[in-house]
Amino acid sequence: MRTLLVDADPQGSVGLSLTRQSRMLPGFYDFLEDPGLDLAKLVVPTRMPTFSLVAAGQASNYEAGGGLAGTHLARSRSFMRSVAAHGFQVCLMDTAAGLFGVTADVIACCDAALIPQQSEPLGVRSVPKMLEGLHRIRVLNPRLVVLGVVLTMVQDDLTESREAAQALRQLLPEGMVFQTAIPRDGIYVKASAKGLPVGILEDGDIAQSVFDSLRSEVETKWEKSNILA
Amino acid sequence: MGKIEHSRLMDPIESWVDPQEVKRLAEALMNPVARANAPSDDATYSKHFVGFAEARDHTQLPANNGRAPSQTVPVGAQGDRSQQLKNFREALPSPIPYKGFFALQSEAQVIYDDGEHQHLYFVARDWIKTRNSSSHQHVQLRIGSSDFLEMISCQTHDGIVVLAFIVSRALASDELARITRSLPTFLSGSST
Repeated sequence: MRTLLVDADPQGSVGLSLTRQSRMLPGFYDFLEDPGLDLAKLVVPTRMPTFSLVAAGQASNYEAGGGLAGTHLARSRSFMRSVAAHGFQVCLMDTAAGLFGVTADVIACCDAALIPQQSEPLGVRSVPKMLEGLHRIRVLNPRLVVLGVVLTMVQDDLTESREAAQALRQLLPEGMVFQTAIPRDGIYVKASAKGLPVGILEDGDIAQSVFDSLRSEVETKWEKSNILA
Repeated sequence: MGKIEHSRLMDPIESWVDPQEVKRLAEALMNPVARANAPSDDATYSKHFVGFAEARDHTQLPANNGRAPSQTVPVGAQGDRSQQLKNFREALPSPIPYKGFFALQSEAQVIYDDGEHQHLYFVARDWIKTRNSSSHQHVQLRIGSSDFLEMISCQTHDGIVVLAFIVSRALASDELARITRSLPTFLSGSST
């Protein structure tokens, strides 16, 4: 299955965590700015033949990421169409936090949304705002499937983190919070430092299994959403 | 510090959220919209408004933009304001290709709507938030193949009022000027 990971966060962390040269790459924000830019010039192949990247790009900046929702919707739609036309079957858009500006426009073009949520009290308090934001976007994109919330940076050895996770599971309907939770683990820092996917590190088996579990849940929820719709 | 009961949310969260409201919002999101009823990918410009093509920002409008005349009378209850805005809308010059109108106060509260434009409120609110940090007085957004949303910020006695017009073509500068010039007269309670 041909998959494209797109860095739609102006911070550019996807590219920066993988290659130093990615800072020089044209990317998603350049596509938004330049109607004449071909997607083929943005796609960066990886060692996996079915997996490619698009960096955030040179035009990315924090100002572009915020601002008025809707400004980049038409170009975001063009981007999605172009991705499909280039034969990609799955396009993963990594957006900045917050449901406004480019992030809102991107989600308004997507089929499904997965919401990572840090397992800490402050993050859980922001959940109502997040839900309201998704409702607004769903007005624009009624087809949007909300796959659910994934707890991230969970620290089982920290009472506050553990209780925040528990509180979120109590707060949201059953099925909205993924069973799989991403733990806070030094191995992610190591992977980031080396610029490698966590799964290929020597001690990365457990981390890899977590993401395999997440993938499996996503597939199940996605299939279920298609059946129900 | 009391022991946390499993049946209750933890204290650092409980006081910040309304569990019933959160559950209601979340459950609504978990219910898929029937694909058959949802707009197709090409329904970008359906009546449900699903797209902008461009946004233009103008920082300068006429010098008397929204400035209330000296003989104005105090604006009272919101009902008065609503009626005043209704009068204002009905008196819009006919060449202006207006299809709908709503207005918000600077706090983003909707104070008038001549139709059902709830789906556009968040756009206006986003702009209000954005323009608080800038001097922009007008923004124009394409919301359909032949629909534009023109938002104009006007200073009034009671603070900023944002006028939002749904129009079938982009408004020219002189039309914007006429609109902004006429508003204070209606908000003052006098007629033109």
